[in-house]
Amino acid sequence: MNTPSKRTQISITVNGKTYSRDVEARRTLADFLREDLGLTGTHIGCEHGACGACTVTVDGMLARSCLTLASQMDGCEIRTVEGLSGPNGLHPIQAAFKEHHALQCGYCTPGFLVTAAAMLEETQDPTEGQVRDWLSGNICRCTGYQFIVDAVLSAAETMRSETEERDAS
Amino acid sequence: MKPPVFEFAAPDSLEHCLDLLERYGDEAKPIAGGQSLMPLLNLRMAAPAVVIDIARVPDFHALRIEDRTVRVGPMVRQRVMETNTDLRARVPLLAEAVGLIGHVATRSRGTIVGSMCHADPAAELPVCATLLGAEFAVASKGGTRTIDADSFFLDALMTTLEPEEIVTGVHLPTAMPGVGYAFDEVSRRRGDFALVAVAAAVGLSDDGLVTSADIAIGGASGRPERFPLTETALSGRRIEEAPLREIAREVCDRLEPESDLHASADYRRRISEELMTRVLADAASRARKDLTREHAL
Repeated sequence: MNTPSKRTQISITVNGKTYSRDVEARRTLADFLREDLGLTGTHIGCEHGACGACTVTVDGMLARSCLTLASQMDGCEIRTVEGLSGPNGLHPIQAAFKEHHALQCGYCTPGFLVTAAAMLEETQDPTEGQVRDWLSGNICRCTGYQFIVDAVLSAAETMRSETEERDAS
Repeated sequence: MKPPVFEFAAPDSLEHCLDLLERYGDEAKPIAGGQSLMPLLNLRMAAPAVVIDIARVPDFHALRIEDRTVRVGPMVRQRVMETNTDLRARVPLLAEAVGLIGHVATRSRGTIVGSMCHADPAAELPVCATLLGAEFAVASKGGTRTIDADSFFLDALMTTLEPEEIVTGVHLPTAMPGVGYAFDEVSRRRGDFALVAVAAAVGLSDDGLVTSADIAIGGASGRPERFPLTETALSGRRIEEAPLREIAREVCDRLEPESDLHASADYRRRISEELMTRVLADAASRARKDLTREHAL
């Protein structure tokens, strides 16, 4: 790609599946996921990086998909909210959100779920302060955040006991 | 909104990158992590004809931690300042400031050099670069040069980088023994740009007297400002006996902050004074801990 072009040929792995596409150079990753791949779980809120609704992971690291160009993602691995649940149903984070009433309108929820899942992969036993710090980049206008924090702490506990059980058996 | 139409290139070497910059000049804009440029594109405040993705240049990802200098390539992400313990120990000022920059998701993409080149007057990293006297290694088709931080930052969102040039690395001096560093800021919300951000470095002699003191302030003008305080009443005193607030006030009198939507000029001056008082005391207390640790060895 040494010559500038208005279109880019990219190959991206999203939730384990690889897609090759020809995209407009200015296509954001958020629009690519939603419009080109039909993965509408990733929501677009502010479109300038302030709200966190479009958060995904790129090669395991959190990223705002509205502040990322699809063209930059050639060869990268993306995980969206659709990639959280597995064959056994909901991810513990998703189950905890349901249990703790951590969402109302649900618009911001995909961003919170992806952020919390990334945090728990790095920090198995977070303090409430750490949870609030990680989630500080995601805006929710319904819940007042308390139930979201409760849900993440509860999911952390569930995931720790699952790990312990697995290690014991 | 969506970004305006542009052409995209992802050169695979420095040479190709410089070719593109030479050819397109101020029509082109390099993108590293994109956390400053993408909002500008989405808000249609920037409309480059060509966006040059520099992530495919292998050398740009290098982070070299040496005894006296840390060399940070333009693709090194801000998140590294949180996760690399060696880097944190060598440049403690950055380790303290990083937690105040945006959020984990933006720090995971955003780069150290990118934030400095964006030169937002209220951003944390330009203040750190200014205090430490960082040096920017710059390349163009015409050759290479080095720009020190004092001459690099020109005004809000403006640096002395020419359109056909690119920063190939920033060189940060590592922490010196007997010197303590501190960073603090006031912002409206966690992760927002600072209303005012202040960094300090204070050096102490073995018997705890101030031998050197420097401060850098961001958010109080179009570019980060550095104030050497070694020649003030701080010098030769114990920090707890030094008239910190008076010294801070004298510096504040030289500031000419502007009023905007976020804070009045007067409020900015008042928080500058408070932050300076705090970071000078914090930096001195860290210098003392550093000395105690050395003596224990």
